[in-house]
Amino acid sequence: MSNYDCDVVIVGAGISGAMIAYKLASQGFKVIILEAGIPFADRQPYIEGYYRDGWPWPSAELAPTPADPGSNWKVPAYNYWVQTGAYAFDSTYERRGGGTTMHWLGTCMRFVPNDFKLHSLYNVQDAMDWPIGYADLEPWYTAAETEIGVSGDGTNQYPFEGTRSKPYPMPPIPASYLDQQFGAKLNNNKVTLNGVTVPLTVGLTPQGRNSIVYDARPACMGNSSCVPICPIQAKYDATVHLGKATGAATPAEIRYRSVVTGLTVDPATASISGISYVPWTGEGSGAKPGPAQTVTARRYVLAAHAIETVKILLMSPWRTDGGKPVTVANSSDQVGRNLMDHICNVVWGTMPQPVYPYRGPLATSGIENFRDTQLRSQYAAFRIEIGNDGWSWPTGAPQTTVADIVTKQGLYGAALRQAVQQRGSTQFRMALELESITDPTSRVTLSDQKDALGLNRPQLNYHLSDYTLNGWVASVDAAKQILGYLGATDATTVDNTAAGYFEYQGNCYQYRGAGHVIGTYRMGNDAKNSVVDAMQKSHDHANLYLVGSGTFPTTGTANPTLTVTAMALRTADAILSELKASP
Amino acid sequence: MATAPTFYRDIKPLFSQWDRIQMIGRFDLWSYADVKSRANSIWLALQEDPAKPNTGWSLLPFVHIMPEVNGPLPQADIDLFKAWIDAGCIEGDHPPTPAKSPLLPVFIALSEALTGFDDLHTNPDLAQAYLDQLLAGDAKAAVNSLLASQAGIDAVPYAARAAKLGPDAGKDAGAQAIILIWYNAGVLSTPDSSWYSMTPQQYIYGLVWRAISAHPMGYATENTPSYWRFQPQPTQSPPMTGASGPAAGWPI
Repeated sequence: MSNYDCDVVIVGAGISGAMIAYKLASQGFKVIILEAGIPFADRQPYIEGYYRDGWPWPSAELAPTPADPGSNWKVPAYNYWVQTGAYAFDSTYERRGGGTTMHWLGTCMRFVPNDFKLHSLYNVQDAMDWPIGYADLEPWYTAAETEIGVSGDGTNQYPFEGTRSKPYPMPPIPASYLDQQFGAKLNNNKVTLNGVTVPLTVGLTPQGRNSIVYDARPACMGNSSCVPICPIQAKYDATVHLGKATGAATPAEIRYRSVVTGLTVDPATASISGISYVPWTGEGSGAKPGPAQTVTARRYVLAAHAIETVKILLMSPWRTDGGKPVTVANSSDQVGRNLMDHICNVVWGTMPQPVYPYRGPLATSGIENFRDTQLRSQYAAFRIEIGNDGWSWPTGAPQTTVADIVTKQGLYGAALRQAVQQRGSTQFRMALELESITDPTSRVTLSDQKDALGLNRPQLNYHLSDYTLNGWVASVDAAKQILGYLGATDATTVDNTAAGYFEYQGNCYQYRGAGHVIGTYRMGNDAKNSVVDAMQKSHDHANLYLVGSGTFPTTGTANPTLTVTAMALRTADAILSELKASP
Repeated sequence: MATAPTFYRDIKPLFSQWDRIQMIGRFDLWSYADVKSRANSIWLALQEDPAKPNTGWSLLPFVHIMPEVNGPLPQADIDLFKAWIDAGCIEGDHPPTPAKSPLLPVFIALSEALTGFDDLHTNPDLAQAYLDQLLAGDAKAAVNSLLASQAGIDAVPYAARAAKLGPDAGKDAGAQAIILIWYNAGVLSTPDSSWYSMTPQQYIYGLVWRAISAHPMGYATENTPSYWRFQPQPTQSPPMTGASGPAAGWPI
């Protein structure tokens, strides 16, 4: 190691980076993490920020984060991103210690085995199979569930789920009262889509949230604010493993406020030879960049999520090919392509009886039956999340409900209170989260527009395939049938000024991003059409790993974080073997 | 430490919301009087190892014990608590409370009639803060005019105030502004405008949460394990004052 600053340098202090840093540091290897944003310290100021403003995570001047796109999504001045696509990319991420796990929901489902082979199993031409399968990941899913601390029901609730080698480390988070009302109306009923009958099962959602004391963190007390912040860290966030990494026998070093500007390559070996970054100091508009720095290491890991990792790669010149410049890791010309998300069909309404939303973890159950049916040969699968958060996501309720009653009906006193009670306690929402597949035109590139450090801002040209959009249409049909069984009144509206507004087959719809940024440096066995191999190692550079949901060839039907973590732990193991083999 | 530690500045911040709610059945960790009267026991309990489940102050076998940290409370915090005891449990400066306006009794009585909650008078500081906010905002003229026209309502019993107001009182712009500030804890004149302009305490006291039998999101007040399995209990929401509401020491 004497010729290097450290054994491994990791870019990004989110869940992937934290897990890998912890695994390596605890085995005696020297790790440096470069994190663009600020560290997370005391929780209370963030909680009070949420009470005051509804959002405790302000963007940093020199390490900006994307804002929710909103109706100005095409205006470059409005956001950190520049969006040029026909569709708005509606999911964001954090650049700070802990990354986006600081405000994730905590859903920790495994992919189903068939998620890995959509092309070969269902003959979906545009979908690329994964180079690994469920069996390859199963032990790592178990490891990820242990590290994160997942509460779940170990018995499979759906026939298409993979087998488990170990139970969950904690018993499940109980179903909410609302879930129980849903189950009573929906279980044993069936939905018919295109002639295919799909049974309905309201099942418990496994989650990275403590149901008992675990890993010196408390059990969930139901603060009902998982997004954007758990006030007591019963919900896992990556600062847990950042702490374990910096507390290891060989403590990992985290350099916060360090924005990576590129990688350099040794032309003789094609190995990465260094990583450059700009450190910054100060707060708010007073933040100032310092002189550029370089770090060298035996292995390099980019864990900066699916858009910032691409930005770093595209900012790193490597070689020319027939006069054409080729950037680092991009011989395949796949870096930045296949940008995906689970677009959400958010459906909301009122139940005939009180279901008491706004209480408990924001989602405790789902309807997973649509994740793997024969319909996948025709269109995208989806899962259904049942929210415990009433209409807060789509409408800003319950406050907007009060404003609506007051300004439209002019009620006051006991009548007002009764109306708020009646409407507020019957509200529910579901999110039908659609699978997405490979689409090379859905792409992240570098914009000519610069950020405050003078770095190119990411440019997003997001596209939705017919496979996903046809799945959307089916999800609308499924939701309608489910609302029928519930006896519910549909209150869903479409806002034609929203970022996610679109028209398809003559109908108007609106999607919302799930926050799942997926697919921009996909894994594969063929170096010609993929960026990394099955171990998330660059096909082009033997000492470079790219981790996170950017390596997913397709989105699968589960929220990605557990799979991201399982693959990060698997990669950490591979890096450990390499480091031990050549000390 | 240059000056002796005081409760509001140094001691109260040691205890998180989690700690407080876990202990609320016994006493209030954010109350000066409660902490002072149990100071020695608290100091002893702080030294328990919270990594061990079912020790320390746990009220229930499977909830965490205070304090909410990874591993034991830092020794510096324990020493600070001891230094506070040794210096005589100094209370220190209370957060400032707004000066009471002569309009306040009318405003409170009117607010109770308009919102349908008859206990707003138990938190006059909050009422004064809202009155100040309304009289500094767009609704100033409408609120002033309503207060003038309802002078004397504070002498009318709660149950009889609606009769004095009349059936259309809720259509008045001043009345709507008053209702919305109490329910939504900020000014939301239309469903499209932003309502976030509040202090943390105002957010937590928002009447909307009580009206829908929920607690403020981000501020659970129940210590029934996994309470969301059940229909809400009447104690779900924090009342305007008292043990499970936000204690003194937060800015109003």
